Amino acid sequence: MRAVESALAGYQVFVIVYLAVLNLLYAVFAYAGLRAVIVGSRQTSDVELRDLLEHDVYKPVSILVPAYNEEHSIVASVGSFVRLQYPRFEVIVVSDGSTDRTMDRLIDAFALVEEPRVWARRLPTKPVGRVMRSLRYPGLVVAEKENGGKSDALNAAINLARYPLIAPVDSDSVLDAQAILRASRLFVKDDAVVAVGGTVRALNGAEFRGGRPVDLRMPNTWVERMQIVEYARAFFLGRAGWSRLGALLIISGAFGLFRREAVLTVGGFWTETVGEDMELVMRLHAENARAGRPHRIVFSPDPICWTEVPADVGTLRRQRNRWHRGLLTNLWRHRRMMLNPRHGRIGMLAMPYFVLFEALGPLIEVFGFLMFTLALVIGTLNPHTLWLFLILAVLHGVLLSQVAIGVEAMLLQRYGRLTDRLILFGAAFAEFLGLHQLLTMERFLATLQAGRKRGHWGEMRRAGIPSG
Amino acid sequence: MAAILAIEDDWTVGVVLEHTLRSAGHDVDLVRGLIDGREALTTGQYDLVLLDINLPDGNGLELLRDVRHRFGRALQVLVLTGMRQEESVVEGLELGADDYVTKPFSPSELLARVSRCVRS
Amino acid sequence: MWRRSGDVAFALVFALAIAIEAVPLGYLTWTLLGRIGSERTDGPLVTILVGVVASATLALVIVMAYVLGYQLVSARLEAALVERRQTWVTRWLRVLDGSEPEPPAPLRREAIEALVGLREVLRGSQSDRVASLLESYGAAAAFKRAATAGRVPARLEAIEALASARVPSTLTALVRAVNDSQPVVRVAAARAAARTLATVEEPGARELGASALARALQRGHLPVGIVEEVLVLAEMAAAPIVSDLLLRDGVPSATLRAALDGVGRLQLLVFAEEVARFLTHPDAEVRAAALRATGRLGFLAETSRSAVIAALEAEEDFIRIHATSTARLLPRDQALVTLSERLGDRSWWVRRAAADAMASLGAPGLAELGRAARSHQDRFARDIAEQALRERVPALVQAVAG
Repeated sequence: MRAVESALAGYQVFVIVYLAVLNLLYAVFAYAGLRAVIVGSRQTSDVELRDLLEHDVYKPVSILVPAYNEEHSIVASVGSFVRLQYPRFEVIVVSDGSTDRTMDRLIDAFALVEEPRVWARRLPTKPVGRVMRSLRYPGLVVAEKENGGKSDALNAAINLARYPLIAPVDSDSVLDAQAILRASRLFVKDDAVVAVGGTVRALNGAEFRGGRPVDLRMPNTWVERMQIVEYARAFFLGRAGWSRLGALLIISGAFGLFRREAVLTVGGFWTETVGEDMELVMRLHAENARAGRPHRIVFSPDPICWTEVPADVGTLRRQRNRWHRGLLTNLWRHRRMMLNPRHGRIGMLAMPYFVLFEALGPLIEVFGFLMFTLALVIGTLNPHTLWLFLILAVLHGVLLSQVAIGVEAMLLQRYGRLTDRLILFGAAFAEFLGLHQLLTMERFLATLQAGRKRGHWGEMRRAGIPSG
Repeated sequence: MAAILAIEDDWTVGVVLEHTLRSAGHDVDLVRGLIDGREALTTGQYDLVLLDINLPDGNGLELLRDVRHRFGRALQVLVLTGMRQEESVVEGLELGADDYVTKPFSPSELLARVSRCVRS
Repeated sequence: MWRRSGDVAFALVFALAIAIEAVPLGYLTWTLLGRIGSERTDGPLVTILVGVVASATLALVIVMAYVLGYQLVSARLEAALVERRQTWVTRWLRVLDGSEPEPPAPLRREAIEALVGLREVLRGSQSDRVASLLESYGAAAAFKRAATAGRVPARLEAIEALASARVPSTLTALVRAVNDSQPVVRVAAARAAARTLATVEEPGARELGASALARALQRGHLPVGIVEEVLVLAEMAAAPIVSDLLLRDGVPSATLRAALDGVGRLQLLVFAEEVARFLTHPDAEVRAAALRATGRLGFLAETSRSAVIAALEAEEDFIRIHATSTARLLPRDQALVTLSERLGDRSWWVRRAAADAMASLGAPGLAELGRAARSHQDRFARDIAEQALRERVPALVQAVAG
């Protein structure tokens, strides 16, 4: 019995220390992220962007849109892509063996005509059938291929692309008009940059005009509201912080900008993961470090991409389950970088963090909860201690969320109404009083499922379909 | 004198346009994007449109195409373009713009071109 | 994108919140670690926890109060700021017209910002007058001071203002900042210096400025894209800057590449011979840039032909691509033969460049393409030749039909 008590006590201490370290780390990142936002906001002025538009010192961009069965939204999405504010770019849509009317809708809306084309197939993909060009928008190319998954569709798009920068997006991403402009600027300013990630924000509740959000308002459900807070935290504090530390592991699949050659050199997207966006970034780090090539992968908060976040818990849980399985697959694949000094901060900081606090986090939290309950039942734990500790955990989480909400308030395009800001405050609390625990549970289940691979393949095909 | 619709997103340029044209006696409505521009064209009556090419919600030349489609040559269109964008100027003129002004511009030159357009 | 006010204050508030939290939290962790294995009495632990919870709550309240206050205040502040700036723009326009006298010094921040904005927007004598106003009111000097010392965000703001203001007296300070220790400052200063240099009209002063900027660029190790941008922004001063960079020793490869690209982009034919010198430079990227520039200039000296022909067999794909494009400038028959060979190159991009280059040679080129499409021994060569011809059909039809 003494042994059990000691074990429980030991684990409790571990959990407390774990969470204390975690929160302190969050705080450090968050501060780094905030500093990055402050400095970054002064680095790209409007005059600079105007110069970029009016002179021709920019790099042309190929926007890559993988699509699967999206007849209802594809025309609107592609329509917004072709109307971006950028001097020279092309939009390459790849229908991954869609079985609905996706292709027909595109053909009608954009006056597509088939064009026999010869192109360099540097990445192996499933066979590509028709390649069509739009008569109305000369930069729009639409290809149809045999179904092979999102990564495969992206690789096919990379093969078809002809510009030095590529921007893989989700088919339901709504890019801010200046997103590409602001992101591509970073490639001009620094030769070593191989990839740039931007901010992803939830468009739920926003009023649209001309296909873009103009007035931001709170969406109706608390699930959506909590995700707004979560995304603010993840991007303005998380990604910004990692980027400033030079150890960014993820660029969102919803919007990223990459040097085409760099992606081709490492072999394009990997088709065996549901987290292909993160895996590519990790592989870019790994291969470039191995080859001794200096490279930088950065996050900039300025380029903004809007996406629809799930409004119901079921869809949200499936999404997070998928993300977590992808995370585990990717971390396992690149385990050689772990604590490997050759990979610099990625190996020594980012990998351990992601393994300990992201991948194993749900396990530790769930066991922690069980241990505490057990200790409570046995009687070795003072209920006051437990309550205080739980309150502390919630307060820490909420504090960071409030900082993130504060950063969001500094954007020109922000939730302007006072009531909306107060609702966001509330959502920050609500997240830690239920949703966080629910999603931790989901990620815990995902960790167990990852070993079995059941449901893995079925999910893969749908990674890219809007789930709202 | 003339009723002018200015479609320009840069607010300094907008103020300069408003001031310059109003001092010369014209009526000016200033909007900041293509969508507002389209709305204004449906609800208002204008003699001349001052159209910036680089707008945040799209390329001004799109609107030019629509304007020529809807109003024919009855509505004068003057295109505002950056100094090195020769291609846009040519494209604009081909699409039916009546004249162009490059940015940065001199207010007196702008007035002269506007007057010429309005006269014809 | 971002509101300019309040970000530094927010960082301070956040730092304060972290400090308030970190100390009790650290103490808690320390205490817990010290208790491992020993007899526990929970009393003191509970007290510590209460203390930590209290401090966390305090930190949270501080942050939330700030954010709420910021939201309320910033909207109103900024609306007022915008209105004041707009009023100032109108007022300055009347000053420039002559219908209003110059306002007394010192100027408010919005007045200076309005003036800088006008400098961007106006051209001609009115724009010159704005520049001299910025000088006479001491705004240029103030920006210069702010650009050279202090924290990076503030320096960047000042440099950006100078990039728009383009007052010649600030050029020296900006050129110096191109060699600053901070990369972001170097980049911003290079842009601002180029824009300012473009307004210098007197040729002697322009040459001096160009020379100084070229020296600074050489030492600054700026990214290729930025040097290219500097050349575009410098307008009339681009030629002397390029000349300086091409003639100097010890210019870093990236800067050389940008200079060579600048020659091509700006069509500085006077440097055609200089460019040819770099066709045999040890650095592959520089050779490629020289090939590209030669191609863009459309002029290939007899003495340079061998270098281009040698480059057609280079190991690196990118060199062969540019060499192929430039091969169209060889004497016609030689060009057609070498390009026809390149149609069968192992790299798709080289084959593409060869087909395009042949098509640009007019009727003989098209004829050769036709021959290649039918009877070239390499299958890929036949494919690409056919594709190139097919793409040109609409243009041909239009040329014939009118």
